[in-house]
Amino acid sequence: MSQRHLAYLAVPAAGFLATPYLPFVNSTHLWFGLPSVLVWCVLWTVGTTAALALYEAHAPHPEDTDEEAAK
Amino acid sequence: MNTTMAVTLAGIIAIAAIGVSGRRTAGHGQDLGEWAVGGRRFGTVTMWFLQAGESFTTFSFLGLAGLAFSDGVAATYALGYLSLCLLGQYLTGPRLWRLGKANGYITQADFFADRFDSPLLGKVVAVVGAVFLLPYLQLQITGLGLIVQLATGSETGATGSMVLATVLTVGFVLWSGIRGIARAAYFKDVLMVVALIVLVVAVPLTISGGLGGLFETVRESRPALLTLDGAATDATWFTTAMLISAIGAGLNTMPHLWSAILSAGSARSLRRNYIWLPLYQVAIAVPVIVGFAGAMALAPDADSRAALLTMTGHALPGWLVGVVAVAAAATAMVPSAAILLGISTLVSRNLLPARSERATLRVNHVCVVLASALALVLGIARPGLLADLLLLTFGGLAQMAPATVAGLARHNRLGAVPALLGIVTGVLTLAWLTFGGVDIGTVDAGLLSLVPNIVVTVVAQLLLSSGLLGSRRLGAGSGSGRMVDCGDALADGTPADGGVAAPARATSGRGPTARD
Repeated sequence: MSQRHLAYLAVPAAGFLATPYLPFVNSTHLWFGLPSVLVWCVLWTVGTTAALALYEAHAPHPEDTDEEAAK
Repeated sequence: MNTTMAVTLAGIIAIAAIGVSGRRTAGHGQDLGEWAVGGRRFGTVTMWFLQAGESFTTFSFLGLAGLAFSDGVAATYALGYLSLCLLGQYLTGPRLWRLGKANGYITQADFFADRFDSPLLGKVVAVVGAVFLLPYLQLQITGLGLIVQLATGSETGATGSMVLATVLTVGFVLWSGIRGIARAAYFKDVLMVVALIVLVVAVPLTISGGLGGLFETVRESRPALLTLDGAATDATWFTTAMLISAIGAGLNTMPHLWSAILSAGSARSLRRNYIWLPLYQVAIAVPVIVGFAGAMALAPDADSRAALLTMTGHALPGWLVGVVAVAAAATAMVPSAAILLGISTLVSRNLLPARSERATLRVNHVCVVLASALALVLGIARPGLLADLLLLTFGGLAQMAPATVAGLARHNRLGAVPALLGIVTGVLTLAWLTFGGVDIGTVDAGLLSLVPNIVVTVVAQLLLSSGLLGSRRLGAGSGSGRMVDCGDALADGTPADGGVAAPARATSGRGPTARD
């Protein structure tokens, strides 16, 4: 679990935690006809899957190899 | 009986029938391992439905619509905490699974007993878990009654539905165990998606201008609903409520989450499951949108919990309201089944271990019946009795987070006594902050309670290390909590299998690091 790979996961976490502190998000603006806060959170929810997929693809999983070899 | 009621009752029976069909029979006798963790053989798809089914509760359906009705976009904190919790589970779940497979865990308390080499700590964790889960179970049952009452307008029907759904849930849980829950979750999740699509299309149409017009109207008439600046739901609330929920769920401090993790066939299938689960959580946006529609269409002093089903009743014909009610009822029945499994395994495995596998399963099944009966009776007769305890459930269970982190480490350097002192301090602080009239603004009390929890844990560990706090272990050798572990399993060259080790009677004299 390297710090570089953990940075992938930190991006959506930071996105969510920053929600109320970003003036362009925490406002009465509508994005695509929906509240900006709602759209922002939905985007980062999808972004969580993207971040996890990136981590899965690039981070090493040495124990998987051991487990498959043991089968 | 009207159409809505008939469809709802038929749906509740169908959910239970699907759960019953999940039992695996040919050539596989039932033991606690097969019943509770499915022999640790579930693949990615089954895991996905099982964990999605457990996460989408009556709160997701009625509660978030109600929160959007009263506090607008504050309800989106659920999207954040569920995603953050999945990030945490992605990192910790495979480690828990590997420890569970190697050491034969069935419950959260098994993990604590083993990783802290302390059967007594395991028992304490089991008691805390079972006690805190009981009001959560009651919440699901009373939520189901509310769903039926709101959908059909019948109070008698609501009580009858609570009884029927509880009896049927107990039936399929006893018969099929976690495989039944997984099978019912397939049905539930598909029905949920259908119901949510119907709702997101139909409900905004009852508002002038449809979905686009809905939020223009909100911006003009109640713009405060679009920002996180509410008196009770401001930025601090949003951040701290999201964090404590993510910490609690991300580190699996709720005991009923463990069965699903331990039932995975591999760490890889568990990880793949966590990658795709956030996409399902996007569905939470629908109850939030419906809650906004309720805020525009209903009186401001209307019951917020009723927002979603009242709007459903305005938008849809009776039979389709019944379909939505079935989907909502499923959000009570599937999590209830998982909670029942969590409570009963804690009691039968960690608190009242029997001598044989058969007797253990019998004790477990008696616990399922007693816990559900207690929650049902209290839900009908004294619905407010456990309300205070419920206020402590989420923040209270989250107090196990520091000890869980320590237990996950390759070498657990935290002693059982400091871990227990930290948990007790955290729970007591939470109770004081919750009921003591302390003004903490909008900061989440559970998150705040983690501070003294961690301080006490660290100080106690330092005292322990310096020899001032007695033994590192707590109650070691006093019970039957030792699991067959990785070291034991591999010592004779035999790989640890996917089965579940019965609690051994022998006490262990090994040092704590031998299990790492």
